[in-house]
Amino acid sequence: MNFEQMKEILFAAAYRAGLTDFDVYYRMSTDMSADALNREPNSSAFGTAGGISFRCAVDGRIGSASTEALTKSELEALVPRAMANAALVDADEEPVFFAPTPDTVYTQVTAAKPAMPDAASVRRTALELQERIYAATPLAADGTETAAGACEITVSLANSRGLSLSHSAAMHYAYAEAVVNDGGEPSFGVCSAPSLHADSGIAEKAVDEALARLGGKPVKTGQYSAVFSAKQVSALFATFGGIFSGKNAMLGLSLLKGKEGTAVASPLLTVYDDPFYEKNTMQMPFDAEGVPTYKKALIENGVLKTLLYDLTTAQKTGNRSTGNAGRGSYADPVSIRSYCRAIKPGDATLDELFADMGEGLYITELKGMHAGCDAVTGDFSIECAGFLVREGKRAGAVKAFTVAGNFFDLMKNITRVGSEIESGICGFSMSAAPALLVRNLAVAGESENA
Amino acid sequence: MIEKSLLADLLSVAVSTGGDFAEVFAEREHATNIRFVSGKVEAIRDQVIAGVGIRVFCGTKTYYASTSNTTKEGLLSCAAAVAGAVGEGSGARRITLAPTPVINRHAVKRYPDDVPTREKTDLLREACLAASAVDERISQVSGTYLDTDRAILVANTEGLCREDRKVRTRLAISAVASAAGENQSGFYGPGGGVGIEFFDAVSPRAVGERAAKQALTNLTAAYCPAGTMTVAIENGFGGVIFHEACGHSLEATSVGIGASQMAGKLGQQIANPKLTAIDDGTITGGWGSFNVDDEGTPATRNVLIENGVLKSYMIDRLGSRRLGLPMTGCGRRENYTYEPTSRMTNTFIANGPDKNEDIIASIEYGLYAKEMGGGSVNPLTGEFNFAVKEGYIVRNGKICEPVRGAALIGTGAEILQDIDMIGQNLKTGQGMCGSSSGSVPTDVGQPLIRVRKITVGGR
Repeated sequence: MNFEQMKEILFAAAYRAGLTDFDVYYRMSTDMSADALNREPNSSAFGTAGGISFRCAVDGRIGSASTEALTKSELEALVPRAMANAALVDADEEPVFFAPTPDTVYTQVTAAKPAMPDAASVRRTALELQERIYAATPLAADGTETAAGACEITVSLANSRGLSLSHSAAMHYAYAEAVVNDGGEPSFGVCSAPSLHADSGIAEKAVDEALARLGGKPVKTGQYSAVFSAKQVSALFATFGGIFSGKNAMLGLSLLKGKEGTAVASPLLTVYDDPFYEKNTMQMPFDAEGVPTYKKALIENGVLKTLLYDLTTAQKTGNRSTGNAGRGSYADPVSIRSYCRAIKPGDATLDELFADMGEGLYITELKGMHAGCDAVTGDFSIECAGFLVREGKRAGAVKAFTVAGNFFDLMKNITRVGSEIESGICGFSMSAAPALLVRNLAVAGESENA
Repeated sequence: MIEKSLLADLLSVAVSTGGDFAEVFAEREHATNIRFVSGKVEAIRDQVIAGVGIRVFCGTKTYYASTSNTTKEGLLSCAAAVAGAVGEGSGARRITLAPTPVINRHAVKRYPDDVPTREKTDLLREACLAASAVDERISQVSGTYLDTDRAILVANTEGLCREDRKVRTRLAISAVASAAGENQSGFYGPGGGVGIEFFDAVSPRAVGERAAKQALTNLTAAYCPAGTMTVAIENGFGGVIFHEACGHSLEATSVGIGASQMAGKLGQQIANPKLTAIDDGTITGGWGSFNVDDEGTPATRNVLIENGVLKSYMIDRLGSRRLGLPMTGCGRRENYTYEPTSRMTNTFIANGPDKNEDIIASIEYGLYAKEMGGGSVNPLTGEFNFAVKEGYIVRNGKICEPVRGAALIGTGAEILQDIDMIGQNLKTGQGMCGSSSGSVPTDVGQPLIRVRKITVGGR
């Protein structure tokens, strides 16, 4: 059954039930992947999965229900399920469904949609990445894993106010995890790229990272300055992304509440939310409520410009939707999402950041972010690995230490921004960030007297 | 879910191109997830998950295809896709399935679909309002009520054909306390592998109050100091330390490919002789329990470490091929879109010889971690980390002022030797564990334990 057929069944059932305000959201993804392990092909997978969600307003309340079983009877059952759920929800605002006008314009995506590759070429990429890792170092060891794949997602959305949208996007990816062992403790390096080309350099980068990390030593407990690598800057901002949600602010769950127009970060920091980031092939022209998306600055020269809103939160807080309604999966209620989080580059190469810092740490790995960070408080205490920086130059590998602080302080304590942007895959979107130099971080490692 | 004759056909197609084993996994799950925030039921997520995954082995190489299109044509095309990936040929085999009944250890009194949703929203409201009422500094309370009713069917070319049904219920409350422009948070989220009768034993009010009290404690807490110290970790969710520090490194997922620091150590003394650790998927009504795993293998009580000696790994079907060891009934997946792999079920450190009061009394200066948060590990190096949600400084054998923002880090091999006192109040806590086969419910547990020396991340 295609979306038009499902829509017809659901719309008919909804009108029969006397409903006037409702929407239908459908998401289907096709994935293809292969991985290789220890120089051998290991596994190969294909998947088609997705479902449909029906959402309706009953007496000023929104209810929804969803299913993956896409038969006529299961689809029709969604309507009474959603209506029963609506009766149990508490509401204090009229539900909003987006009504497009003749002025509603959706930005054209600029990225070409990559074609789904054939399974054999995906397997070849995974295997060739293995070969490249083993060719790059004689220390390559068991546990070395590579993968390649592609996914295609189709989102369709229609509502009782005349909205009818559909968009399909796809992405290629490859991943390399090199394990090296020099007879001491093994170490590893990880690199990925939104491409199926085995010669994109990710195998070699993963090897370089793994080799550089060999023999990591502990760090002494104390106060440090640190340069966070571009990849880790993206990870930090992704973990604390919820602070930009207008809904979290409304609920008192973001300390950025009421701070629009004020300085919340170092004047060196500018952060964009960009649904059309040029390197991202998963660009999205409309959000989960059908509102057009657009690029916007969240923080510009340290000043908070806007938070992110969906229709309901915008209505409740007297703002306009920023086109950031999202659904974690087809089944999730509408919440607030961000697109590609892109940090504006600064003026310093990595070496210049080290030179500027003089003494400190270069942090290239942050672990257990889901546990060690609290977006409500901003506090973090995270296991890290990286390198010492001595006399302005990168020195030996270090590991098994934690860096603790508060994200809101960290944004203020940025004293230099890197000039080299690294973009990475971040869920079904991407992120783009430079390295950042941050002062005043508490590091726990070996005790002074240990 | 699928007719037996079609099952046999799917298996036959799947192994027709050179595979030596094929498996069909079908599931249908109804999940209800109610979210409460700011004094209101905000949204109800009411989802039916339904689909099929077909897997083929060629030795230790695997091929997997999954689909939510469960029509006969959809399934046959899924089987053909996986067969096509394996190779070419038409060596169709006739498969005879021998359905075996599954003994149900987890009788459910009140199935989620038999309970009106209003009763569920009321339970959640009671918990959240109780949290808000604890203190005026509680500025926000959000909560989630969750139940799932999951039916699975597994059939394979060895003739295995088993069905299971698993019900789970959980209530999770987050509270925020605010003062002077600062927020602090508290969380409590108990659950069980049972129906709505879960709330006969668990008071929603008490769940809410516990989350609120933790947030308030953290509001008055100073930052935890940084450095290496002796740490006592309380029972219940404290067991996450074993889960992260050691559990993942004992899964065939990492051991089977040589990417675990625990590979090749069976029979060796890897921990203090006081330590016995068990993964037990058979516990009646356990959060991580099931009758048969997602590969159709019955759950077992698997002693991993006995008196400090490594006795067993956790081994799924593929891991069994890789390691040449029997399966332990732990092949799990979040849903049909994932290939299963070895996962923990209910994993805990057994009671030990030490009295709890002696453990605290033995610490001159250190940390008492009363409630733990989540964490992560790299099984290759054994390096792990996890967060302390509620902690106190211990001075001269006494629990003193609260401290916040601590993390504990170390390596599995070291900490197993450094757990040098084990108390006697074993209790479990519920979590969701993420790995290559998705997010699955797992119980962690332990009595109060003492870690002689560990790095405490603070400031």
